[in-house]
Order: sequence, then structure tokens, then C-alpha cells
Amino acid sequence: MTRESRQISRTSVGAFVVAWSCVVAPLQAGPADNDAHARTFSLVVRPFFQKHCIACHGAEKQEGEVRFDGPLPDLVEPKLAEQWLAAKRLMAQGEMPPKGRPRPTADELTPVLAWIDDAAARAATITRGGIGRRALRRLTPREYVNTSLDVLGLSFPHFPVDLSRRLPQDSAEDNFSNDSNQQSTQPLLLRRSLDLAEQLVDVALPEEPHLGPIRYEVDVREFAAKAAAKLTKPQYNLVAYRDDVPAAGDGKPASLSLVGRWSGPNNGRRPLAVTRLDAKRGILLAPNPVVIGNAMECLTLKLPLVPDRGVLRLRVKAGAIIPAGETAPVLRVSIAREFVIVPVGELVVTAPADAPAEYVLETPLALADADWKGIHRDGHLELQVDNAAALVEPALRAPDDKRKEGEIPLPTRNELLVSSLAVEVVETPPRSPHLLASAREGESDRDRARRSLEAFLPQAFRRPARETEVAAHLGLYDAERARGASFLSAYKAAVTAALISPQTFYLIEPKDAEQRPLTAWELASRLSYLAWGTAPDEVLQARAADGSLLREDELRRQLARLLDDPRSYALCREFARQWLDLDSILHLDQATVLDRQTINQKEDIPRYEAVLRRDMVEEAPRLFEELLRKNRPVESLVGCEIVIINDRLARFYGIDVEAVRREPPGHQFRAVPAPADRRGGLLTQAGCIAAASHGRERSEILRGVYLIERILGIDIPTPPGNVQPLDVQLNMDKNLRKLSPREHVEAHSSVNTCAVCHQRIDPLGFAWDQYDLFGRLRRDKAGKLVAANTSGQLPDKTPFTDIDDFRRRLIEPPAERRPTPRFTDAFSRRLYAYVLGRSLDHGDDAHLQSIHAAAARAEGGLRDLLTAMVLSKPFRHK
Amino acid sequence: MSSEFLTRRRFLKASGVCLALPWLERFASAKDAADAPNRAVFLFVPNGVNMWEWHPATTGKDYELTPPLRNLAGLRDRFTAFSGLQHIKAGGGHQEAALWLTGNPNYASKKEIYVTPNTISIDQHIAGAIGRQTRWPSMVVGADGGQYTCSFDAEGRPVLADFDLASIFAELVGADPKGRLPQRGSILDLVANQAAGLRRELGKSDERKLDEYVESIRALEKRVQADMAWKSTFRREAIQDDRLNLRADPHNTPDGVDFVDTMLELIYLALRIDCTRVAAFSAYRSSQCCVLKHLGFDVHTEGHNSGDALPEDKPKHFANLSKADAWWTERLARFLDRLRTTREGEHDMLRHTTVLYGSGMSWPAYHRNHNLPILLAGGEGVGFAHGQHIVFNGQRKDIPNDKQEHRNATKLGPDAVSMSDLLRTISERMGVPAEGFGESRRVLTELLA
Repeated sequence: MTRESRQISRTSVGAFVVAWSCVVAPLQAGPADNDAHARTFSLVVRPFFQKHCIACHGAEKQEGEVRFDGPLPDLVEPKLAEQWLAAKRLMAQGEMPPKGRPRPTADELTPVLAWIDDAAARAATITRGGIGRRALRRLTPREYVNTSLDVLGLSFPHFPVDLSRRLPQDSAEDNFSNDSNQQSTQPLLLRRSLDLAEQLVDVALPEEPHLGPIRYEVDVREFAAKAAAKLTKPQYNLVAYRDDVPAAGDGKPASLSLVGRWSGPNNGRRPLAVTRLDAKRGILLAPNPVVIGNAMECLTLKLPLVPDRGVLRLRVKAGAIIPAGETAPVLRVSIAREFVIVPVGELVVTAPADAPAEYVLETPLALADADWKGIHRDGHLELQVDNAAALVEPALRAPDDKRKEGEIPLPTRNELLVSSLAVEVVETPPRSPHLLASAREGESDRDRARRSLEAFLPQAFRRPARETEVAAHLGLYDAERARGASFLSAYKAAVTAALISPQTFYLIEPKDAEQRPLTAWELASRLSYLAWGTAPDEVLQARAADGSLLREDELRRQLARLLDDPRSYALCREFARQWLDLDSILHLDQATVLDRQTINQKEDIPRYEAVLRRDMVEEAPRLFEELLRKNRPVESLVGCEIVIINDRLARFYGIDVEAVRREPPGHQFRAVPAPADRRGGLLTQAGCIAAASHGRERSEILRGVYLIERILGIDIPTPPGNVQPLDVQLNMDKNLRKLSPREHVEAHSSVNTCAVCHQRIDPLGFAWDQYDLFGRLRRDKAGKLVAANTSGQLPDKTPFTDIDDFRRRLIEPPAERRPTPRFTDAFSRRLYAYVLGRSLDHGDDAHLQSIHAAAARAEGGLRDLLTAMVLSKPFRHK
Repeated sequence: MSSEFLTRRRFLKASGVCLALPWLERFASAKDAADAPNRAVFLFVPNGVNMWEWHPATTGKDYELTPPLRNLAGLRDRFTAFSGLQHIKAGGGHQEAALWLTGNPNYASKKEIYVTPNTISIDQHIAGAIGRQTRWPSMVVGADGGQYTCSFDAEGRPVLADFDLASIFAELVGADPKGRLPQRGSILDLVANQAAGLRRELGKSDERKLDEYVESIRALEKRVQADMAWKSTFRREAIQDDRLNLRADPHNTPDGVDFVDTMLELIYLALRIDCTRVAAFSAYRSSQCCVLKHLGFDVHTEGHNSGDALPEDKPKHFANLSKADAWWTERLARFLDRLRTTREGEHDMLRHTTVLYGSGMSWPAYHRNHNLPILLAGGEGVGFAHGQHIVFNGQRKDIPNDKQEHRNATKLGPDAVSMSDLLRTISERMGVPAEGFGESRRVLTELLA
């Protein structure tokens, strides 16, 4: 009994959420207006309900435990709001009053529906406490890390560690992680943030050098010549050749080793030589296939001492040999100890091998996740340099290929040429000029600390610092000094405190008695975190300082400036990845490469898989970025004549990239004309289809749920806990196996309790029937395309025949009697929720209306839409 | 309500008062090491078990160990197996991890993320009372981390689970330079003041958000003070390097094995040095059986594929589920053995450590939660007596039959015993009154010596 009633209530909640429509509601809420609202209730609404509804939902009968004979309802009460909105939806759809009762005329009905909308919008605004209002928003882990790095002025573009992963993540599978209502702050988060803040401040403000200068330089050509002279026979041993490297100044020599095999015969798995020695050019490293454990082909430099702080700077003269159709090599530096290698720097090398260029890679040692305790015990630091490129496509065995391992030549691979290597450790990295004022003659330490804080605090707090705040942080400095701390250590405490201060941790928008527009500083923060995911830069700060940002033209200009900057990829990435749940595909169990297909180089596969999946995740944000930059219509997200891909994805899709090649090739995403089966924008991307399929061959229903929730924006209630996935049902019930997939799904949606939702969900999933679980075209074993039956229907029963027809239906304007929202509505609701950093409610419908209107008055493009959202009242108001 | 019921309640209430004084009891039982603290550990196993094999067929002292329990043969006298434990009102479904330690029938979640607040979980309930005595009030850990946890605070919010082995270890052994702590203290003072000043500027709903921050700061301050006061009595020999792989990644086979073993070892270390007395380990989500990938099948899919069918219909799937069960009990045996072989006063650590092990799910395919697979080990020091298989609610071992009766829960009478009763019993033996916890009606005196 309890279980049943729970299901019923879930269903009704879900049904209620579905109900939103686009009737414009006036929004001003003065007292006179309140009177009018109440008057309409007593003159229009109450009589209407008395005539049509009270007989069943009144004092005598309460069908469905609902009654409408009360006084003016206050829809702030969630239960009441649910009832009234459900009533509105049922009346709009003609389901209420029930069959057999007199129908209200349209003239009767319209003002009543409008009144309910108005009441709900008012309630929503009251609940929120203002039209733009959101609860105190915390920076997301990623925003927090970016902000900390930016205000300290640290930048390590080649450091491959995502520091935000060190903070506990907000789980927000259905909402955006910037949704303030979903965020929770707990001791663990604060503790980790404090740990990280301390570490970053240590990197930016190192105390006195703990080791002498460390510099080593090697001419790898000489090293190669010596090695080649010594190594006349094929070698298989791990360290094939070792040579000393004298220190550039004082100090013990380091040693450089060549690890790997070359000129060797087939070792059973890898038939050909990989590392090449070239006395004229240096050492050529093939991609290192090992993901975990000791590298097979690499150079290792063993330093005779352990710098665990400071910035490791590597200058490499390097070049690339890139065969046609391959990607550029990736130079990777790792800290190695025993069987663990910790990558600390990666950069793509594109200079030709004939004319190697100097590359500089900087990495903060203190932030490396290495086993420092063990390294100290060993007494030396081992750096490993290898080529970490993944293949564009692993060599696959065709189904009828009978050749054995070793008989098939390795695919051509790129090579990384290293011709000289210089390593040094610098104590102080480049940092923000606001971080620490340089000492003036005759100035006391305290005055210097004050001057520094006066410059730094506004950066961290993203607004001018108050005198009391400077004084408070200076007080911390004083207290530390009194405890005997050095100037730097005391000042670092004050800076660390600023980084975990609530002023930095949250986007603070103080309350006011009345609804108020944001101040220029608050607006600058909202804008900057939206577009770049970090604190405002200097230009934006200047516009906030003189207040010009509050002018609409300046706001437009600044938004345009931020969006034109490549950093706006942060917006595209965060929005698209969360909206489309793309990160989930990183953890799918199934492999895109079948084990039986691979030859010779099984160890290449894990790395290829990982990189390919990252490419899939990146494709949607890249498309979004391109469309946003070009201000293409919103509709092009689901119908587009180009795809934004790199070579690896092109191979995966079977697109011939040679024809559209552009230098440098490989890893970079670029626009390519879309083939016939990839013209659906997001809808034909491998990433979306894979995320929707959850790694299951038979996933029509999961795909339907994905489409209805994420693309059509209709919220579906959670199914009861005891539902089996389709393929499991197949396994369980022999009779089901006799059915075609379509019949099977239809059987499923004909079960009574499931039908309510599944009649709307299931027919959608067939749109993707010709794509497999990773979004490739479905083929049979012989490689021929499998005929797919891709017809289905939208929740409002609009039929479609295939994916192209589906996406056309998605963007056609809805017919009058079909209240199903279309893609553009759903998309703009999602985007607006992200822009505002809160979930939308009934009070926002009117704003969305005017946003659509404003965007349409411009060119109606994606950028116009985003601009209209930024200019809208909720974004600019508290 | 019968008068008999009333008297029993009164009796239990009275006994609860008694139990609130564990010190007395401990001194009464004389020869226990004078300062061995009592601890509770909660080990959550996701995704249910192979129910055809889990529960023993016979009851009492001489029950026959079932295949998954054979790993625990050497510890037979130190644990109790249960049949028939379940939540009374809370049904099956995807929220089983969140219900396991709370027994809250009104909890709702979507995709394992909470949508309504939960109620407090028993580990946090105990930690609320005894957590102040140790550096860490409680240790909440899990592979997926964050909000995927069995632990909920007094407001019903998930207590974020820690997942970072290296950080936990560093904090445990005090790798943070101690000189840094006073500075941390002053930093926290400053930001706490700022937050207090900020409160005045914010509206009501923002205040609630800021309160979370303030509470976190306070928790951190307490921790800093505890860390400062903590004399490094840490005995290095307690650390066994080969048991710790701090870089293990739960999402990467074969590290998943190492991850679980290392985490259990960290729990052991934390208890051993009295850094905390309450630990909850929710290994991972039921839908993400990442840790077990090395077994060669996906436990979650396997659970679904078994269809809760008759054993002869799905032999392969049930065999695989058994493999997973045995893998888990092997981990448990290792952990219990570690506690048992560590001397503490005149006894071993296990005697002072109550370990609850089990799943919030029984039959995995339909996510049922009747007849939960639950074991209770150790804690003889607080009065538990082990070595039996105890059956509640008239539950019988499931015998395959054509009517598929195993899929239905036993009919519960008004005096049914619930999972909450067991949780309450643990809490009260630990000296923390928990009358009315979750769906609890009584203390399970059957378990006591």
C-alpha cells in the first residue's frame, strides 16, 4: 500500500513539473496591483470555479483530495501551487472538466488561466525574495581553483593536473554545479580548499631558497652519438645507456639514461624498433604505450638532489616527424619513482624535425602529486621525458584477417625529436604584481604588508577592499609576527586567509530592503564567472570601478569582449558538459575498440581509449563555442552543415580528413563539412549518443529519457526502483526475445503504470536507432550498414521518420493544440538556468519571453540569446 | 496498546539510562584495559548479494557457514549473522545506501542524489555524542566520495565522504608540519569573524547558506585544536607499508582492490591511534561497481541480469554474484583479523570495536530490501555475544519454488524487528541513547551476553 501511494505521488509531482507554458504574466507587484489581482480572483476566477469545479472539488466532494472553494489562494504554499498549476494544465489540455460536464468557452477560460499564471509567478518571486535572486552562491571547485590561480597570478598551462579534482565535487546530475540551491558547504570542502590555498600561496611566495641553484644542460646529439657508438648490438634491457651530465654551476653531476629498445627484433608484441638514435639530430622517441608502470621508450634524467618546491623549468629543443594522418607528438615530463610515474607537464610539439624549436615547460613541483617521502628517502629526483601522443587510430584486424601478430607491420607513428635538454629549478614563478609590493627603502615591514594587502584584497574579493578588512588582515599579520613568524610567513597567512574568506568563497550580493539592481562590482563578478569561470580581469575591474558597466551599451561591449576571448571556452565547456552529462562517458565500461580486433599493440589501446573519450567530451563544447562565436541560430545546435572535430574523431566517424587538412594536423578541433549522417549538430555527436546510451547495446528507453529530459526539457519522474533495463528483461524472459526491439519497447510502454510516462519517452529513442552505443553507424559483422527503423514520435504525437526528420520537428514552431515545448524553448531554459546560477521557476517565464523577443529583434543567434539573457532584469538584479 | 508493551518499553527505557553510562559498565567488567575506547565501524557493501547463498539455513550456535561466510570461519565466534532484518516502511529502490544507517521511510532521492533531506544516520548520531573525545568526530569515506555516502548529519544533509587516500593518511600521521597549525588557527579566526560580520548584510535564505560555511569553519577550528593537542603518540610500527597503496585509484582496475584494502587499513590506523571512534565506509554506489571490475564482470549488470530468478535459471549470474560476495567477505575477514590480532590491554582491538557489515539491498535485480544481508562483529567489550545465526520476523531461508515466494517480504507483525533496532542497539551499547531512532521499537537484547 505504502509503495503504491508513493508511486502515485511521484507521478503527480512529475506531471506537475511538466506543466509550464508561455502565457505572458505581468510582473510588477505594487499594492494597487495586488488589489487588482485579488479583485480578478473574486470577480472572474472564483465564479468560474464555482460554475465548473466546485461540484466535485468543493465542500461536499473532494475528488482527488483537491478542493477549490477556498478564499484567495497563496501559491507560496507549495502544495497549493501544485494543485492550482495542475488544474491549469488539465484545463488547458481540455481534460478538466471531465467528459460529460459542460465545457467552458475559450473566452471564459483564458483569463482564468492567465490569472493562475500570474499568481504562480508572484509566488515564485516572493519565495525567491526577488526576481534575480539566488541563494548565496559558492564558487564551484573549478571556479575556486581558477580564481585562486588568477589572483595569485600563477599560470601553468602545461601542468596536466586538474587541481579542482582535489576538492569534493558537487553532485549535480540534473542541475548545474553553479546552482546555488544545490551546493552544500561542509568541513571537508573547506579543509581541502584551505590545504590547496596554502599550497598555492607557498608556490607563489616561496620562502628563502632551500637548495642552491640547480641547472643541468645536455646536448642530446652528443649523447646519441656516444650511445650509438657503444650500442652496436640490439638491446632489450631497460636502461640501455647512461651518461653523466655535469651541473651548469657547482654541484654533483646528474645522469641521463636512455630507456627502451631499438634496432631490436620482434620481442613478441612490438615487432619494430621504436626509439632511434641520430647523432646529427638527437633522439627520436616513438609514442610510449605504457599508461601505468615504467615507460618503454623514454629518457630519464636523474638529479642528485630533491627539489620539492619551486618551479621546474624544462627547456627542450624539440621537433616532430608527423606521418600523414597522424597527430603531433606530445612531450611529457613525469616524476618517476619505482613503478609509479606522475606526469607533471605536457606540451604538443609541432616544429618540424628539420628545424627544431625551443619549447619551455614550467611545472610547480610542490603541486605534483608525487610520493615525496619516498623520493626524499631515495635521495634523488628522477624526471622522465617521453612522447605521450595517442594514436589517431589503432591498427585493427579486419574480421577476415588471418595474419598473426608480428606479421602485420606497425602503423606509422609520429616521432618526437629531442636534440637538447636543459633543466633548472627556479624558486619564484612569475606571479601577480598585486601579490607582494616590492620593498621600499626605509619602509617598515608592516607598511609593506599593508601596501601589499591594499592591492591584493580587492583582487581576491573582486571589489574594493574596505579599510576594516585591510586592518583585519593586517591584524593577522601582526599576530603572526608577534608569534615570531618571519615577514613572509606572516604575510602569507594574511593572503591565505583572504583566499578562504567568505568574500572569496562566495559571490556576495548583500540584501537590501527593496529589490535592487546589482552594483557594478557584483555585476562584473556575475559576468566574469559566467563567461570565463574566474574573477574579473583588469579591464572589467576598471569598468566596474567607474560604474560604466551598469550602462547597457558597456555591458554589451564587455560581454562581447569576454566572449571573443578564447577563455570563454570555460562557459561552453561547463554548460555543455553538464547539460549533456558528457563526463559520464569517461567511465563507460564498454570499449570502442574490441579486443579481438587489435593487433600487435594492445598496450596502445588504453591510452587511445582515454584520449578518444576526452575528444568525444570536447566535441559538444567546441561546437557550442563555434556557433556562439559566429552567432549562428540556436537551431543549428541540432542541425548543422559542419562538424567540429579533430583527426581522431574524423577517423572514428569515417570522415576523410585529408581533403580538409589544415596545419598543424591532428589534435586541434576545427570545422569540417559534415557528412550526411552527422548533420544533426549535437544530436549526431558520438558524445551525446554515448552519454544517452549508458554503455548499453539496447538503450532505446534510456535514449528516450535523455532526449526528453535534456533536449526537450521535460522532467520525467524517477522510475520505481524495481525496473529492469531492456537487455536485462530480454535475458530474463524468453518470450521477449522473440519480439523485435520495437515490439519489445512497445510492450513495455503498454503496461498500465508505466504507460503514463513511457508513451512519451519510448518513441523518441528510436531516432538514434542507426547509431550504436558509441554513436557510430551500426554495422553488421561484414561491415555493412544495418537497416534501422528510425521512425517514432514526439511526446505530443508528432511523428518523425528518421534523425533528420526528428531534428526538423524539434525546431518547427509548435502547433496550437500541441503544448510540447520545442528544442529552442528547452535549450534557452537550460542556458538561462546556467546564466542565473539557479533553477528556473514559474516567475521566469515572462522574462524568457522578453529574452526571446529581444534575441529575435537582433539576428536571433546564439550570441544574441546569451546577450539578451545577460541584459535581462534577473541577471542584473539582486 | 497492551500493558505488556508498555512495561517492556519502560524496561527498555530504564536500561537505556543504564547504558548511557558506559564507563561504569566498563569498570564493572573489571579487567578490560582501563582506557580502551569503544568504537563502531560501518561497512556498506553496494548492490546486494546472491541471496540463494548468503543466509545460513539453520539457526543458533551450530549453524552451518554458507559459502560467502566461509571466509570468516576463523572468526566464527566473533560475529553474528542475521536473517529477517529489514526496514519496516522504507521500500526498495535506488536510495538504499541512504536508508541503510537512517531507516528513514520518507527519504526521496533522484539518481542517488537526495531531493528531500534525510534524517541523521546512526554513525553521526554516535559521533555527535562521543566524537568530541577524539581528533576526528567521525571518519566518513567512500570510493565515489562527496554526496555518495551512507552518512547524514542532524539536518539530514549527506556528510561528504572523503576519498583521497593520501590526504587521509597525511592527516592521520600528522604529516602537516605542526608549526603550521597555530597559523591555521588564526586564519580560521579571521574568516570566522568575517563571516559573522557578513551575516548582518545578508537576507534570510543567504544566512542559511552562510551558516554552512560557519559550521565548516568551526569544525575545522576544532580539528586544528585537536591536532595541536594531539601528542604524537603514533607508533610507526603500526604502519605496515605493504598494506598501504595510497595512490590506488578506485576507478582503475586493479587498483580498486588496493583502494578498498588501503581504506580499510586507514580506518584501522585511525581507530588504533584513537584518532576517531566512529567510521563509515560506503565503498561505492550500487550503480557504479568500479572497484570490482577486476572480477571480469560488472556486478551491477550481473545483479540485474540475475533477475532475482530461480538459481537453476541463472546459474552463471548467481555464481558471479557469489564471487563478488566472497571477495567482500574476504576483505572483511582481513579487516577483522587485523583488529583481532592487535592486542589492546588484556584483550584485542576487536573486542572494543563493533563492526556492522552489510548491504542495504538484498535481491539485487529488483533492488529489494527485505531480509537484508547483515553481519555484526566484535564489540564484546560493550556486551555483544557472538557466534550465532539469529532470525527475526519469522524469516526462513529462501527455498526456490515455482511461486517465486522469495521475492516477497515476510509479513511483518506489530512487534516486527527492524534494521533500525539493530542500529539503535549498537548506539546504546556504545553509550549513546537512541530511543526511537529511525523505525526502532526496541533494543535487541538477543545479541547481548
